[in-house]
Amino acid sequence: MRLELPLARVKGLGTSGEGSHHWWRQRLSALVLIPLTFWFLFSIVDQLGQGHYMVQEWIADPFTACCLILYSIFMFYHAQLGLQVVIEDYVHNRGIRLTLVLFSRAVLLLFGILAVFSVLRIAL
Amino acid sequence: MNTLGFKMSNAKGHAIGMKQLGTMAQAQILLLYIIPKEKYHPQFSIICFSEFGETENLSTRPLSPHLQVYRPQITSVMSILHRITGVIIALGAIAISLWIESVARGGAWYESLSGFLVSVPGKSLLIIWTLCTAYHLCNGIRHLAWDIGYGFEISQVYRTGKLVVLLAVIITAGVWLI
Repeated sequence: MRLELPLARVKGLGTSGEGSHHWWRQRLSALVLIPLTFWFLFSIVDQLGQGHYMVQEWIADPFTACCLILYSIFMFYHAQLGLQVVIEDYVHNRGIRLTLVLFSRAVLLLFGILAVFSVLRIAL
Repeated sequence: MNTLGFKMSNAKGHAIGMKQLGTMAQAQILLLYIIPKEKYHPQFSIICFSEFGETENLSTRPLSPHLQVYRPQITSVMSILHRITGVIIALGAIAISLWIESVARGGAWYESLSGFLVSVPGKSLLIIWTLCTAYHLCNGIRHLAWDIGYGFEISQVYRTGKLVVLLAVIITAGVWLI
């Protein structure tokens, strides 16, 4: 038995009003992050003790710059989707929940843009 | 009506209070001892919890799962660790973007930040961050396998769980020792 109106069934958005978009985007961004995270983990360690010029050279390399930008975009996007789920699970007050979700989104967007812009600034 | 939001009554349908509930609960426990397990049937229950209270009482009902009486298992612990590591990685991502920004800015800001990262506290934080990332990465792959329908047998769940922890440690060691 479906406790659903025919219109709701056609729209396919479910009780949350968002359908499965959030779930699906979380999985896809996770898939993209698998190779990127392996690359980042194994290449960042060599850079940490280096002088400023060497690190600039490394980031300015086209391959590194592209991977870093992709990594930043997908990492912050995935983090936003994940934090939203955590907040929605544990914060029961609707107003505080919405405020926290929007606040986390704003902070992660700011730092995501900061990372991408800084890479471009170094590489270009 | 008690604080749980239930309307309590005895088998005849008469409402009972907390004091009566205590006496009846003792009788119920005695019944559980007397009646063999295989012959026990819900109709032997002498206390009836029926009808939820008014809507404002619904929020005071206990929420499942009852974590305070829940024995930790590898499955539940790994699940909550996935969340905790996820939040730590998100904080680390903010630090990474600050580090890249310091490279773009250069000067004293870069020197102080990279100086902190090679110091003992900085390095400890980095190793914790690496461990969290490696764990979340491996467990995330495990989750993606579940999403396409693989690894649901309980033996597989335990085996892949232990494998994830082992791989996370190996990757962290590999990153910092190679």
